Amino acid sequence: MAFPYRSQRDINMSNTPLLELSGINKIYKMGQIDLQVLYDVSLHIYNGDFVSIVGPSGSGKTTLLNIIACLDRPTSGTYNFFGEDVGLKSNDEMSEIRNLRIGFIFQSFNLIPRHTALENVIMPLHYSSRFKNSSFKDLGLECLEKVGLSERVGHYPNELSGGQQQRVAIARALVTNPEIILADEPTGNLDSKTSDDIMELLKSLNKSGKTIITITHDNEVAEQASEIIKIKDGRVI
Amino acid sequence: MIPNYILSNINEARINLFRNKTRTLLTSLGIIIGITSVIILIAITNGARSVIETQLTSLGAKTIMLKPFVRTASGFSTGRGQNFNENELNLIKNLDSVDYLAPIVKASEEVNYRSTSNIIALVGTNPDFAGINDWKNISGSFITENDVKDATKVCVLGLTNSRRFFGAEDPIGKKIRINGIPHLVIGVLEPKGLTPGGRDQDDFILLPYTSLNRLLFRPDMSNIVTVLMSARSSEELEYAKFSIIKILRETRNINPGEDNFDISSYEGVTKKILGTTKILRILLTSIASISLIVGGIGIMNIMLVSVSERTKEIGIRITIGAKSRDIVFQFLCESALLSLIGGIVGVLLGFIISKIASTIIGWPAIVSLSSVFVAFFFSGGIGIFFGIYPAFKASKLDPIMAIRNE
Repeated sequence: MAFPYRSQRDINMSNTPLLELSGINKIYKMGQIDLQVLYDVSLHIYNGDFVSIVGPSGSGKTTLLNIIACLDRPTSGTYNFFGEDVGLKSNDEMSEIRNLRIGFIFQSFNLIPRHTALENVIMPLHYSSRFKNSSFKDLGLECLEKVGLSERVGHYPNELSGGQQQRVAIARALVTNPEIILADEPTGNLDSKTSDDIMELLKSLNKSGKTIITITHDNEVAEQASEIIKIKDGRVI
Repeated sequence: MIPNYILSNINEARINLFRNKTRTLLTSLGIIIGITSVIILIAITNGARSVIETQLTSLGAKTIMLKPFVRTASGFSTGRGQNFNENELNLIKNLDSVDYLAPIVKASEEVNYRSTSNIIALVGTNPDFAGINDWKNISGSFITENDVKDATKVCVLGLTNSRRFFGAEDPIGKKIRINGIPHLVIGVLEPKGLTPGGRDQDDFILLPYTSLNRLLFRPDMSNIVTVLMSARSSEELEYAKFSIIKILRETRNINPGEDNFDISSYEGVTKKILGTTKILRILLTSIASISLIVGGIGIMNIMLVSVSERTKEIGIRITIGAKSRDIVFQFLCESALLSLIGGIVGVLLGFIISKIASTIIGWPAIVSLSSVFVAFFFSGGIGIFFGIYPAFKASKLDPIMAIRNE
């Protein structure tokens, strides 16, 4: 059994991790063949971490991110999310975790084209009973202001540059005020100047207390994180 | 909270449907055609029904006959009968389900005018008689309440007798002698011709029943051979009969089975004819419903296309926290709205076309409120029913795969 990945905080403090993966295996059934993508992955992520998961394509980092994101379930092993076993949660409860505790940022922004920036930002609020309809607009505007897009509230995604679209996506990730931000190649579709801006934004969010997990194969991006988890052939190295 | 959730989903559906107007219109065309034809067919058959009903009225389909006899297997036995009194007739006349009530007194007496003389069937009655069998005057007027009250010596001629005694001459204002007593002719009735059995329906003379009784030196109420009544509508015929029987049993203090009167009607005929129009309506409506089902399948088809076009969007929504039921609801709202748009357009078109059709075919088209409601519920229901499969398909998408779809 491999040692679980231990962060600096893990060594310095004895607080409980936000996310605790232990002995995670993921096997896809491809007809007759079983394809194992993750082997015995264990890692701890603590509140306030800025973690980069790096690895070449096909290394299993996306599968790992999907499991961390509560979009997929491991074949075996346990995943404790805020001290609760995700394996025991129903699909609806997993939806609720994604809605309220995780903000998602994607390489291709994934905004809905026929909705304005503001409408895209407040979309997660529709799927929770925690927020009042009357507060949607204020929450959305507040988040757009945080990412510096107050001027572009009523614009549609195709009227925005790539960097602006990614800012809208970040605002959407922040709108339910989740503890964790998951970013899948957040700068993959952006030029280097814009990439730097987006990374600065993520760092400032980390400083304000968000736990940030990104996956990337860009070493420059990875190095800006406080912790780097390397993954290769489905194993943490 | 919940109404807002529904509203935002309806708004979402509206945005999607209006984004692609041509497709929305073409998809809802099936529903439009279906609802339009249902509305027209119901309107026209309703119109036909009302025309038929008016015609049935003149044939006596709403008529109830009350006789002071008891019907036995062999025919009428007068032994156990009891004459009607004015109080009973007033009580019956006051029933909501009874429109007209005419007592009938009959006699055959000698009638002469100048040199013509003949034995003629005399019918004594009151003004309601005209309403029951739909008799109309071709000239002059009809018996009035005052004629009945004062037993005035007036008469109304059936067309046969107008021709018999007066030929081409205008009989109004002339006096004929009945049993030697002069009576003023005040009107002539529109002819009804022969019965299928060959009896001349216009060969009679009408008088106020009080006048006829006085002419024959009879007391007023004892000679009523029949009381003719007409129910307010053919649907109320049975109820009217039931109410009349109840009144008579109560005033006469008799039990069922001891009835000393006889009540009958032609309800069989009415039921049969109106039954036919009902069958016709069911038949036509079910044919129209087939196009609604075809329209529904069109909706299902386009919703499946819509789901596959929006796979990525669904993936995004599920990833950021939409539950299965949120996705199902979103797509059901869309298919229901799509179908409802068809329903609304269909109702409007159906209304316009049936009004135009009614002026062309010359009978009323009655667009009932109930058919409009049924159309709305039906089209909404079809949208939901045929939207279920695509909506569930959408909600079962794997977000990991869906979000990568371009």
